[in-house]
Parts: sequence; structure tokens; C-alpha cells
Amino acid sequence: MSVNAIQFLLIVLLSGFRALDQYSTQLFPFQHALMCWLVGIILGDPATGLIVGGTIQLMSMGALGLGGSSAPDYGMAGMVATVLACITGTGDVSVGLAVGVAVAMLYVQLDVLFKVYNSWVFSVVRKHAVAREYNKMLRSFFLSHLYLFLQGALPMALVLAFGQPVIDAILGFMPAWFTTGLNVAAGMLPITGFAMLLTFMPVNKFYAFLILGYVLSAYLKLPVLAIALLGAVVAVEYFQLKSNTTTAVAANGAAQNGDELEDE
Amino acid sequence: MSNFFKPADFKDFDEAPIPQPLPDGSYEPVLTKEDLKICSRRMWVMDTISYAYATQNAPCATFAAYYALRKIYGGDQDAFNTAILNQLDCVFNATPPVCGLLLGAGLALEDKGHLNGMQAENDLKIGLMGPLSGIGDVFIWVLPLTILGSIAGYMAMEGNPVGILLWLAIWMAVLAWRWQNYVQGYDMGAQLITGLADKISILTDAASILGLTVVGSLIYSAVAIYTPLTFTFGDVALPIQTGVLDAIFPNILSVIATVVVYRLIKKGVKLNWIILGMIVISCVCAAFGILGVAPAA
Repeated sequence: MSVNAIQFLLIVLLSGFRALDQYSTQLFPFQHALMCWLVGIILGDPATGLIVGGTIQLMSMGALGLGGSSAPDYGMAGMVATVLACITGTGDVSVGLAVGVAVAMLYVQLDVLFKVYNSWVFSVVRKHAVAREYNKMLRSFFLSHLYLFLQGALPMALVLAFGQPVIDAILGFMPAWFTTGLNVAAGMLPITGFAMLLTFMPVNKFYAFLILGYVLSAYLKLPVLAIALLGAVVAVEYFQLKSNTTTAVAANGAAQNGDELEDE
Repeated sequence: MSNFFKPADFKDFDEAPIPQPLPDGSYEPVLTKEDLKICSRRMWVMDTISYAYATQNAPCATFAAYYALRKIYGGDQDAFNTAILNQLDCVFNATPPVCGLLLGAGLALEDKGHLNGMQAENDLKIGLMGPLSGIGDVFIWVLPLTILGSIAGYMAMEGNPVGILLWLAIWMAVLAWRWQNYVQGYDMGAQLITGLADKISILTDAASILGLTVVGSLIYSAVAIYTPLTFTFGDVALPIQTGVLDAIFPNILSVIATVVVYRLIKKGVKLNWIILGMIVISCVCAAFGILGVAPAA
């Protein structure tokens, strides 16, 4: 089947919105089956949309980009797969799915690029903040929204216009060292966040707790919640110990002045 | 809609009063429930969209708190500028739908202490963002996605959209809650500071201990640097990663890289250059097979 102008526009807009929604408003986060169903409805084939969407939804289990990590974009994959399955119109969804998964992998790289792009957005925002141009600052935040909308919308327009050969061409064009390199960088880049964080904290005073956290994680393999709770134990004890000492010192000082000090 | 994202009683710098400290050096809190709900909604528009490796989600938190901070500092432009830059620079990342609890608590500290409450606010945010995300990720993402997602997926494969609609309905309830979660966070933060005013520096240290413990663990668990290199002596092959490096110290490359980046930042090297450098080094090392992607365990 061929796609008419209204269908083309609706799907491109939906694809842009989905990419945006995943990071921004989260009205339908990770609800890939819903998006594929909507694409199917637009193309007049809701049944194919549901089948592709259901399959992608189940494939995507556990592929959550939590804590700033990059995960394959199964939402984009599902929509591309649905479009291809509906266009070919043979009822065979396997080709669409195969291309869809390739798209998901491709989008891991785009996600890394997006977060690097955001470093630039941040520098713009911060520049306006320093210059006290607050309205410009508030507007600059939406550069990120714009980028994500285009990241969802433009590739979808290409897929609708040229279909499957485009995907193969893009994948063939990227050299292996580049894709592997981006994957390696994705594993390494969270370091910048931690290092930045450490510059804010009293590392020289409490560096021992960095070692504690590392040992609990690296040698004892505890999950982060358990480590946080252990950290809380030390923090609570430290707080009580220190505040008792302060109270005692205050009590001594008060006693010298001949005042009574009651316990709180 | 006009006061959905912006307070109806917003005053510009020249109309707003300059806040005066109370005798004990703190300030009269000014934020209302409506102001905090606006923070929640602004956070919803941003969510995690400004995520960059350096400051993570701090810009989103800044965008959310903008009008609350304007109200706190009123006509004091210098103090507001310090506060807004602090928000931008203080690394923050927590599960977005629940992070209002923590950011609201932080605003309570700043509402009461103004610039003096800022360090405690930063430490509170950094110290608790890990634990909050640990709980939030499970209850907001992992559990619903696993349970509702599999129901929706299975039913859809059989051509039935009911599972999709069920998930949608439950998620809308979460959205309704998150549109006001700064209010609950603020109340918790206000309780925290009552009676703790003298002990705020001890509290700051305690929060730093918690924060550093969590960061220490993340350097191991959230960073992945892997080398596929292998030494070969005749028939004996010794993989460097598992045979040498991990034997000295697990993930030693992550620790070294963290120390190097920390020193570079301290020396004033721009973060964007560090990030770019990392990508270049990664690509070069990947091309020569020095670094690679670890095989799945």
C-alpha cells in the first residue's frame, strides 16, 4: 500500500512526539505497544500494529535507560517496524521487526550524541544565567525538546519516503570502529558526572567513604539501595555522635555561666 | 492555563520586596502550595530532557524551581543569580516522576535559610538522590513495566488493546500525583529543619558521608571500561581484563579514569573537552582493539 499525505504527516508528528515524550512529559513512557497500535490505526491496519507492538513491547523488557545509561530505543524500532509491515502489507511482520531492531541499536548511538548535544545546550543556558537574561535562559531549555522532536520525526520521514533500503545504507555507512567507539564512550562517560559531583563534596575530609562504597559494590556486590542504607547507618550514627558532643560542649559553656540547660 | 506553569501573583524584580532576615538569621518562608504545584508541573515538562553527562538533570531541576526561587529572593537580584547558578551547577539525577519529593525538600531548606541553606540543600539532594532513585526506579519503572508491560504486550499480540488501555489508565494516576509532589517534599523538608537549625553543618557532613558512599559504589557499578587485549605466551593466553586488571583490583580502569577526570576538572579543564576527549580516545582505542564492549556475563 502507499501512504497518503495526511498519513505521512500524522506518523511523522507522532514519531517526533514519542521521541520527545520519552524524555520529557512522559505521558506514554515505554508504552511501545500503544504507539505501534496508533501507527497501525493511522495506516488503516490496527491488527498489524498490535501484533508488531506487542512483540516489540515484550522484546524491550528490561531495556530501560535508567540512571543516565543509554538503552536501545524500542519505541522508534516499533514504529518503524509497524510502518514497514503495513507498507509491505503481506501480513508478514518479520522483516519489519528485523529492521526495527537494527533501528533500536542505531538509536543507542543517537542517544549518546543527544546527551553530548545537551552539554552544549547547558553551556547556552548557563551563559544566559550568568548574563542575567532569564527569559532567554528559560527559552534555551527548549533546544533539547526541539532536537529530540527532530530526532524522532526526521528519520521517520525518511523511512516513510524511502523505506527499508535507507536503513541498510545508514548501517553500512557507519564503520565498525565508530560504533564500537561510541559504545565504549557510553560506558566511560558517566565518570564525568561522578567526577563533577566529587568536586562539590568534602572529598578530602571523608574520602574513606568513597572506598567503603566501592568495596561494598565491587567485592560484596551489594545493590545500590543496600549500599545507600549502609551509608545512611553511618550518617545517622555520625550525626547523633557529633550533635551529642556539640550539646555537651554547649552544656559546659552554659554551666560556667551559671545557667541551667535542659535536655531537648 | 496562564498559571499552570507560572504563578498568577508573579512579581518582577523591581516590584518584589527585598527579603529581610529574621533576628536568628533565617527568613520567613514564602512558598505556597500553589507555587510548589507549579514546580511539579514545570518538572513534568522537563523530566529528564536536559540530561547531559556533566550536570545530569540539574538544568531540569533549575527550570522547575525558577519561579519558586524568584519568589524566595524577591527583589534581591544578586542573591537570585547566585541561587540559580547553584541550581544549574549542582549535579542532580533521580527518577524524574518522584524527584519532586527531594527537590521540594531542598526548596524548603532554601526558603527558610536562603543562601545559607543552599549548601545543606545541595548535600541533601546529592546524598539522597541515589536512594530515592533506587526506590523510584523499581516502583515507577521496573515493576509497572514488567507487570503492565507484559500484560499489554501479550494481549496486543493476540490483537487485543485492553492491556494497553489498562496500563494507560494506571499511568495517568501516577501523572496526577506527580503534578503536585513538590508539596509533599516541601513538607518533609520543613519538618527536617525544625529543631535542626544549629546542627545543619553536622547534617551536611552526615549527608556527605552518605553521598560519598553511594558515589564510591557507582564508580564500580555504573562505569564500564573493558579491554579485550590478551597476552599470549606460546600456547598460554592471558586475558588482560580478567587475568591481570581485575585480579589487582576490580574495574581498576574505571577508578583510574575517575581520578584523572576529577584532577582535570579541579585544574579547570572544560567538561566539554573532557567529554570530547573521551569519545576520541574511545574511537581510537576501539579501532586498535585496545578497548571494547564487555561480553555479556
